[in-house]
Amino acid sequence: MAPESRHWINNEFVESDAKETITLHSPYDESVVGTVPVADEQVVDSAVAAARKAFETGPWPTFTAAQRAQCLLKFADLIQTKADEIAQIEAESIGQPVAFAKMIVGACVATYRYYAGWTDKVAGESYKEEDGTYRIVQYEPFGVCAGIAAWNATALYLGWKMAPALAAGNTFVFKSSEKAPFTPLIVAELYKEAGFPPGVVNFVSGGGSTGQLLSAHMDIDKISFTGSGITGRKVQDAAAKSNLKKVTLELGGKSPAVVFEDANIENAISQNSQMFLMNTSQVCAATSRVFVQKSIADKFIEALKGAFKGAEGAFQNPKEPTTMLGPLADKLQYDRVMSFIQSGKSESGAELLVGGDKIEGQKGFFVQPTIFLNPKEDAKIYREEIFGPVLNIKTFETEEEAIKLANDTAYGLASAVYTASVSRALRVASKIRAGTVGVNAVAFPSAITPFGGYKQSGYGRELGKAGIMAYLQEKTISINMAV
Amino acid sequence: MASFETQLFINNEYVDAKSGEFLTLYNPTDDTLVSDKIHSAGEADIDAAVAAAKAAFKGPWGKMGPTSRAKILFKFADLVRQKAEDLGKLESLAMGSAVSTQTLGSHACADLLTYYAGWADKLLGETSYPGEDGKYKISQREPIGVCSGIGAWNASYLLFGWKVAPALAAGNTFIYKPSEKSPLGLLALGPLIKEAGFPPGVINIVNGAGKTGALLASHMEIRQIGFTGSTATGRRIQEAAAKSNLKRVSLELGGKSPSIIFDDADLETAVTKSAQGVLVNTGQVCAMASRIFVQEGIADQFIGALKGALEGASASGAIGDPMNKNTMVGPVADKAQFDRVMSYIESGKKDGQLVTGGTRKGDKGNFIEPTIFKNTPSDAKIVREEVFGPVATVQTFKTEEEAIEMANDTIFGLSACVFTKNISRALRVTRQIEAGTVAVNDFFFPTVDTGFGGFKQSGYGREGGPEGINDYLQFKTIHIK
Repeated sequence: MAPESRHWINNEFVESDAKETITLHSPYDESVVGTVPVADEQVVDSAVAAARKAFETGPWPTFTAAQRAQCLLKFADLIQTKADEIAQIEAESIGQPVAFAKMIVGACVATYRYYAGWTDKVAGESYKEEDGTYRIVQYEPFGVCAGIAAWNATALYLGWKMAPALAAGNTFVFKSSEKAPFTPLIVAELYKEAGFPPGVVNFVSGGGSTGQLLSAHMDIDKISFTGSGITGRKVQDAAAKSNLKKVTLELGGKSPAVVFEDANIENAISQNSQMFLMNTSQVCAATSRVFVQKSIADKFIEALKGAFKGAEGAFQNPKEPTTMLGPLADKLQYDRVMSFIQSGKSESGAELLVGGDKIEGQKGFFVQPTIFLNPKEDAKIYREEIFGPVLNIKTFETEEEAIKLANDTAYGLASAVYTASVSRALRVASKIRAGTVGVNAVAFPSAITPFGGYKQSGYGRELGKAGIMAYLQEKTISINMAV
Repeated sequence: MASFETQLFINNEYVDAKSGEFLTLYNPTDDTLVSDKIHSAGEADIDAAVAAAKAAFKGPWGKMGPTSRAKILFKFADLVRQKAEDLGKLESLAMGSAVSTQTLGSHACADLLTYYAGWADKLLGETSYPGEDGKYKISQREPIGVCSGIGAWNASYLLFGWKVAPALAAGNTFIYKPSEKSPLGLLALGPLIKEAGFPPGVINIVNGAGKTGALLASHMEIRQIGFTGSTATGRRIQEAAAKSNLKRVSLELGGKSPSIIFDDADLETAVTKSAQGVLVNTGQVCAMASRIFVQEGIADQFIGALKGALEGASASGAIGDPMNKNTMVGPVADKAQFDRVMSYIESGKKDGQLVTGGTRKGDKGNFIEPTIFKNTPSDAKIVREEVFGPVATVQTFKTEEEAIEMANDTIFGLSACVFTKNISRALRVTRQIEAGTVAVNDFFFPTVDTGFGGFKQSGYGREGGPEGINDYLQFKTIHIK
């Protein structure tokens, strides 16, 4: 049975005679997964209009905070029941192992529950009267918000972008990635069942053209984008040229991992292999530049090579529940990663330690876990985000050197520090220019704390208290006490 | 009437009290015996509850992550919501409050559980700007350990929710003593506590009277106690806490709250809200506006209208059998309260002028007519002391300054009402009233997201809102070199 493919507007699936469609193929066996219509101007306008009406005159603005919380909590329970179905479609669409996809659904559930708890807790401020004026600061939702998801963890973005926006009282238009459009449509009806009135949650499918329509729309108040830096710049540009809508960008990373000589080596190995390879390293926060202190470098590198070689066997059919690693998302991604590997072999000055080719004897877009040692400072593989299982390793002598190397990147999304010393961990964590730092682990984002980047990894934060404050704006009210 | 539990609830089990002592309960609607076999906790029982709560704190509950705690609290809230009316009926049976009122109370408890469940994983500490003076500083907020609560009888579920919900969200475990006048409702929570998934020992419910309360207040291993009730008992709790282990104390005590009605107030609103203030829960509300101050120009009009409103309510059948869903107001809680309120009424007749009411209502059960006095001097008993019944006094004032002075002329400071259409007057007067809660153009009703508590001898500490969780947390400062 073909997966649901219609856009979702005003709590209904809508037929659209789309001039353009997108057909998805499995990156494992190239079978057809399904086809979605591309949302054109008419569809986008319709979705935005529905969201605007819901925000201005629908029952939604009259919902109490407690009522909004109940909708979010109910949705959290409901999406859990669709975990298997979502996992299947993600395995088919982008080759994501079902076990991993289910974990992502769990993270989505946790995010909805977390933000349900915030609805009645964003307090404003009041101040003692000064110069005859009583002042109040209150926080109010923006109105119609839009979200553009990356393809690597769609259910996660349903949580990260929409849960806080809805908790704050906004309405939403969500565009999935053209590489993974089905999950939102699987859960669309659950929003209705959870009690969200028509127009509060809308889903449109499409690629760059649809994203452009959203970014440039005159009646969208805020847009949150997760994806590449190139597209992120286009979003910001369109926002500025249209109505100066607020923008949050979660872009790529080329995150460093620094392994000091007093680190627990076993842990550092497993974090930099198993955790690095998670989702076939198609993770914006992947620590793809590893810096290891000279005194333990040989031992560490040998062991990491072994771990990478051993990991090859973990790449299997993503639909199998025991599969840990799947293929790359599609041919485009495969060609891209292979091209980086080629560059690594031919022009980076690095030594190829392990991997470097597709995985033999496996159908689908599988690439070997690959390590390059000592690429040149300006090598493509060292500077640019690969979004695949390719790791750079360099060595360092001193802590100062390590910090310098770690920060020598245009990005600043994630990082990791491996050491047994508490003071070193905190000291180095404070000097790395990145929005998230893991100490002795690759830090998996938690609903409780903010996630986002420094420098060209973007701006704005998702999750944590910051995540809901990002969907609210301050209003100061000054009351003349003399009248 | 459905059956009810009578034992103690300790470690997720109903158990007999080792004390061999029992409470006796009468139905105030008709003075019939409800039970004389309600187990009353003695020293060994409290020790057992403390041991259970301690083990749970050091064990599964203490080790549980905040998000998992939140999940259990959310579930508990839903279960209480589902059973709201049944739980409300048990209160009506014990202390006569209308089942409609007490069902609202159960819902308020559920809403508090939902509200505080949402706080569990959001209790942030702070960290300092990195690198300063060679130290990395973290301040953490941590639970205290075994906490306890003593509830009054007028709104058992609300008071339970105010104490237990934030305590558990913060990671503490709890021993709760309902009032001996209303022991049945909270005791019925046992099966819901288990179904929600609380490990044994997290919530323990121990019935008893003053002696049991004293055991909690003086226990060496209970780290905190929250008390709602009379100022006299509150003092004894604080003393016992100081004499034992200096456990932390929060007190929600009495009130003699003022209502100030300016001549630019919407008179209809002022009358309606003032009447409601006298009637709701038969005036057995700590925040009740029982001293009404009305500006001279509209005083006669106001008093006449208030009299009409109250007499109308009394004649309309709003006051009657609390078990009837349409009843708004029941009897007072028991014979002792009846005698107490009637005694105040007699003093009011001596010191002031009766406007309406002043007698028992009917000839069966502990019902009292809503009663208003005027021309009561400021030093009269009826103006100074908390009556805790459907009785209010009305005095007049000329100027705003006079009104504020009269309003503040009390040892209490729990609540206040201000009726005016002028926003800057409302904000200005509100600022000057010495009370922890103020309603403008309304009578005060607590919400889950704002703190409730008193100034002066109405107590200290706040329940509800983000402040409400502070009493259940302690700060730890960490400096890492």
